[in-house]
Amino acid sequence: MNPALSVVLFTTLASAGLGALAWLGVDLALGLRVVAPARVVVVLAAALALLAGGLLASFWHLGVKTRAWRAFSQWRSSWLSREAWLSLFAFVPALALGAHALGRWPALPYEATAVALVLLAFATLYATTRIYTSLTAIPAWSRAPVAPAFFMLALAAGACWTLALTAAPANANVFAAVVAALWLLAAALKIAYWRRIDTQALPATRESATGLGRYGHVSVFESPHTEANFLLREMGYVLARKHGKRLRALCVGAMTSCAVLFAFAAARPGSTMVVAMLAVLPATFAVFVERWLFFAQARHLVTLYYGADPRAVADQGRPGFASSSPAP
Amino acid sequence: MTMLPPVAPVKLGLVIDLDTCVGCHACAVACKQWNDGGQFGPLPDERAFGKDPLGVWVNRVHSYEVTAPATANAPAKHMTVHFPRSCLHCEVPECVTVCPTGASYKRASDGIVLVDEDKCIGCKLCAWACPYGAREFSEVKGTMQKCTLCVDRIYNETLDAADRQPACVQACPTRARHFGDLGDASSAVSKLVAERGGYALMPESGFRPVNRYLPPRPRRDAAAAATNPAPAPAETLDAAKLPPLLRWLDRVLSR
Repeated sequence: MNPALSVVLFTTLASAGLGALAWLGVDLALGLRVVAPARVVVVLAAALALLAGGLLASFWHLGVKTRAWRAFSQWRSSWLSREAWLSLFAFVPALALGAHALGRWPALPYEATAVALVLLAFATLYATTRIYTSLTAIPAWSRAPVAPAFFMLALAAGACWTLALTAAPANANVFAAVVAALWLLAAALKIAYWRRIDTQALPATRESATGLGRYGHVSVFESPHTEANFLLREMGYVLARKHGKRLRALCVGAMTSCAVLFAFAAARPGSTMVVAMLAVLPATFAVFVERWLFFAQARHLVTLYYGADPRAVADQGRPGFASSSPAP
Repeated sequence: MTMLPPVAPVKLGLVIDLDTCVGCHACAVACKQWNDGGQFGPLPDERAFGKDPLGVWVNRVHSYEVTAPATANAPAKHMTVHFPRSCLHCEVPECVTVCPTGASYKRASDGIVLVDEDKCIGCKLCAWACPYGAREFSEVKGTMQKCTLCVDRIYNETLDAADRQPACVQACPTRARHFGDLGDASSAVSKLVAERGGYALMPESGFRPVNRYLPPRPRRDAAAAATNPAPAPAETLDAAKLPPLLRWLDRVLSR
């Protein structure tokens, strides 16, 4: 799949923002005071800026931007539409809590509002994962580790932002230890996911896709078109496969370095803010690369109708002809 | 509305005969031509000319080589199969339900899957959802394009009755494409499917495609004929039965 920058940026930024909102909601609802009351507004503003930035990036992805409002209409069937609504709903308790923190709304039942914020942040993240996991045409995306890894990374990246903006947090050592564990868990889930997509074959073959398997092995004799088309550019994208191994290593390296940083912070609670500030860069890098690979390394079933190995399509620059030899 | 309508008894679709398709791309060209000028047109190209032309075609003709492996007493058999690929107008199309805007819809009356170009925001999610590659995005229009089953032809009363069928069907020089109601067991296309063992593509997708493909008929075994030529039939010329002039010629030439 083509890792469109707009979509990669959207999920990277919005999930970090939603992760931060979820943490803040938990913190306020349980009264943990990890985020000092004076800093609530700062964290909220940063989280909402990340979410809004992500939404703006997704808006940039659209072919006809002036009709973006129409995406709210089909919430009864479409996870994309549900995600759009939920991401907007999440602003409501967040802004209410911001008003409360600024002293503008003292009567706000802020614990209940904080719980609503947590639920909406999680619901939005869930809707985003469902957009991907429900697409059976891209089998890699319906693998079991996809949704948990997405949640782990959202919470881990959100925690980086939350702590980076919080001076002298209470319970910092416990929180930092949890975040370190989240990064390790996320790395383990991604490794499990990559192992699965590398070893498990697609559920269909060119023989089953064409229905010609009853006659024997099916190979591409001639492509329907000599140049690329939308399908090959969007679904047959394979540029990152060449550097897949290195990018995966960089991604896991960045996640592990975040885990190490937060383990250090757990041992020295006074350093949490500085450590979290240092971790924001590798955290964002890790999530960005992970999302890039999530697209670039996912094979769409339509590629079965084209070259034998979609790698050949990209490497040769000409679809079809490159892969006309029968598979060994 | 992207909720699917109740399953309609009418299921308009195509039946494509892989036995007679010769891969001439006339259907694809006729499709492009009609849809560039029909009610849904234009169907513009991003780059129609030049080194790397790029544009939307909603009907594509693949060509495959099918190889049956060699057995102990027969060499490997090869067969070329031309394979037109377009929207299958699925009964449970995921491209419709994923659409956030309601632009992608399935008609309740005849099951045709269409895109409302005035609503489409060009998010491309429907193209991601389709394992058959039925949808192509137009960078020029910013919206998704797909086969309309020539809905602007098949009900068009300004056309002669004989012309009220999809452009691809009408253009096919080998009559490898058939159009009709696959929901009606007594229709000509349904009978053809039953007679020839027509099949759906990737039924495991669960989307229940309506279009059917007719498998190639068994080919003459050219390889076996080449290695084991049958003896030429003995020539039998009964000179006694020839007219006198030819009988005389036969006698002269036989000398």
